[in-house]
Amino acid sequence: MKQYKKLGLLSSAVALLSVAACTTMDTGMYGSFPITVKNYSGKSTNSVSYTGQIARHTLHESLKKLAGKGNGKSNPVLKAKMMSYYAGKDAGRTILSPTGSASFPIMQSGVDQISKKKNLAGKTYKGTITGMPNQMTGPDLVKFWIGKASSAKKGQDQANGYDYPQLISKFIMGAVFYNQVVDGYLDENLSAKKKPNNKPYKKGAAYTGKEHSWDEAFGYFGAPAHVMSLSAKQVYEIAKKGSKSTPKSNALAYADINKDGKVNLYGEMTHSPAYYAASFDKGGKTSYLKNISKAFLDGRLLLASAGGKTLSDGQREKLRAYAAVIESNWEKSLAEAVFKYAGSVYKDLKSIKAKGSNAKSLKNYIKHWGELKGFSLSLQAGRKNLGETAVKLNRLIGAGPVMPNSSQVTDIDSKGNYVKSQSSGIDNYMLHMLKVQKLLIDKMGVTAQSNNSVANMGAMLKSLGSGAAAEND
Amino acid sequence: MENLVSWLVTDYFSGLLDTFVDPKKRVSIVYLASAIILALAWSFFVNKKNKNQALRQVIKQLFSKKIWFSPSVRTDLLMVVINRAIMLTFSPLLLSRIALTTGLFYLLNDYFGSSHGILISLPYWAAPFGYTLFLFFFDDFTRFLVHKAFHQIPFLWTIHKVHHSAEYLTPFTVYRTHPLEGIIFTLRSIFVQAITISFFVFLFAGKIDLVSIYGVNFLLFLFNVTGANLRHSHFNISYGTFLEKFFISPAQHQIHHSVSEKHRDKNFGAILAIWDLFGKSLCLSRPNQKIKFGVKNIENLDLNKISIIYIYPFIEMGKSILEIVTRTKKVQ
Ligand SMILES: [Zn+2]
Repeated sequence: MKQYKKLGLLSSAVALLSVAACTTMDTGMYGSFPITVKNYSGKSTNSVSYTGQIARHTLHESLKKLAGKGNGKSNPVLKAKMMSYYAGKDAGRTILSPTGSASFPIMQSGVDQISKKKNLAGKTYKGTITGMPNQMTGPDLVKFWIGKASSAKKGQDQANGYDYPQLISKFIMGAVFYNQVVDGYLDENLSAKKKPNNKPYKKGAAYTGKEHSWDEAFGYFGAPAHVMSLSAKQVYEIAKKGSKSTPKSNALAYADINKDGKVNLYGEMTHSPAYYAASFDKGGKTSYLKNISKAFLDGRLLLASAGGKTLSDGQREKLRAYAAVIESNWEKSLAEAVFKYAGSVYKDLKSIKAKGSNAKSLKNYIKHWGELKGFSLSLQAGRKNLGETAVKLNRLIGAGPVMPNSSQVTDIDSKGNYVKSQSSGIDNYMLHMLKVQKLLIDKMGVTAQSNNSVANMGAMLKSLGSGAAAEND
Repeated sequence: MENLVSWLVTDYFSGLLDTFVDPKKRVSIVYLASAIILALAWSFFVNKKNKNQALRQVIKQLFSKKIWFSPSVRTDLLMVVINRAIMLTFSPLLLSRIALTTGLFYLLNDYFGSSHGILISLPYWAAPFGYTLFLFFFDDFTRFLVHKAFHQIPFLWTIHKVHHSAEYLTPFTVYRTHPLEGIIFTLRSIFVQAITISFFVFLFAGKIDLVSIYGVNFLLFLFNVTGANLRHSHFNISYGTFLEKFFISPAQHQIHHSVSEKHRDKNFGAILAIWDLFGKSLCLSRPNQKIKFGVKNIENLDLNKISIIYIYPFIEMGKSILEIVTRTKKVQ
């Protein structure tokens, strides 16, 4: 009997130990981490918070939606509404996208339900955008496009070749999300002086300076908290809200980790940077999503283990190594996007050239060009100056697409009107797209290579057989 | 050891099997079968009066002990097996086909950028037929050129002599080639493919499908299925004086294998005779021509001995290089 008691005691001790281990150690989720701030007196039990970043993802998606709402006439009301999503801090803004459906219900319908008084303008890259005329800063450029979008028909200017929802959205993905992370949170915020780990982020906060900085960076990436337990395809399907899932309800099942039947935009949803990383990874050649997510998680585990003390140089060194993984993978996923859309533009031009342009082919072309240009500007909004590569990229893509009549926007006058000139034609512009793809292979090391315009040569070689035969006459 | 076993199973044997199954290969079972049918048809055509004799003659040829148990044919078959292993080892080291093709493609774009996609609006069939025909002619022409070089450049002849040392011709004689010749022919094929593909993708701005039968260039398929294997056989099949100016007949290729002085350096062509016609090396066949196959063997070497076949060309090459060196020294 005595022996049994001993055994019981031992086993409960083991159980206790293992419970303790669970709360502090890796759960594989970027969900809950213990509070390490000394003398914390609040009620929170979780030191992770990145609501502001998720709110900005919804502002971004909603702004994109609004940019496609114009009717082709000057529309100050629409413009004001777009500005409120981009630069305002107004209460009561509804989430126009992503919105839920019966098969994919979303918990929040208003931006304030996630976080209040947030905007995108204050977080947009302030440097000069050299890939567009007139030396505009990041916020200047977005505002310029918002103005144009408000008077365009369904977001497209078919005379000059601009698709504003795409331009605005793809540019913000780099100028806000990517730039904030690699140029701020994972750069100077990792120094010894900034955001110390032995103090709360601000008075009364449940998290230290370093912890919160890291968490906010993760928020901008926009992966679900349980990303490590999902495949790239599942993460992609979540962003598509079931439209790419069979059955449709699969997307909800993947997202809804707490099984409350609704998708929480905070922690359960896939937002744009993670969506793009996943979209390339699902091809199986790359693992941007997993690399970035794992580096974020590993860094967060390290911070938790620091227990609210000042980080040693060695610990910061490790964090910097994780940061480097995040930066290089994120940069590559943006480069893959530029590559992909250069391929789309090439295909569109080829079809226009062979069959002539019609409303549909022109619309696709302008849309793809907007994605190409937006992503190429995003790629240049990182911490590093891409130098020669950026110069070449901007020269090859230009300030506007070459239209079927060979005209191309080359400048913007002081009143904000487009100035067009005659280009060397769409043949030459197709060639530019090939060169963009080659540049990205050579200089950025893209490997997913969606829409590779020269990959077909590999297939043609294959169909001829190896030729490695000693057959002779 | 484990590596060797897996190499043998997954790479070597499957490749060897492929040689007899893949319709891209000359001795694929389909073409061997069609060759036999054509041989029968030919024999009936020649011996219209005595069908029994026609059949007997073909059977006699097909199952000739003298041919199949000759040291020459034994060597051919051994070389099928050995060359397969050698080519499998060396061909990946040669030259990246895809790198050469994309490199040429970008080069074309750099120098003639304005012509990119210039033929894009031609009717849909223009690209595949243009591509398939060009590939066929270009491939056949370069085969002719390289083959001619193998005969006329002395150190290349030391290599090609291996092929010509066959005293009896069977379809497997196509594999009786020194590996160095195999490597040179592989390089030729890489250049032909890279040039053609980069050129056509450049002109048509996109992927072009080969006009093919069973995945093979339809012209090559037609050549193979109409008795290409009879070139290396003892069936003296002629196409007649008119056609033989355009297509090399089996009989014409047998002339190419003749040991006789009057047949020297004739009929280098693979499929088309036009190259030989322009190059003045064409020789038309004669009915009932009796040809002795092989090469003049001055040194009296055993040219069916595997070790001599593989090593001797290197010795001969070394000798001729040494000769050149001593000659230049004397001049100095
Ligand atoms: Zn020869």
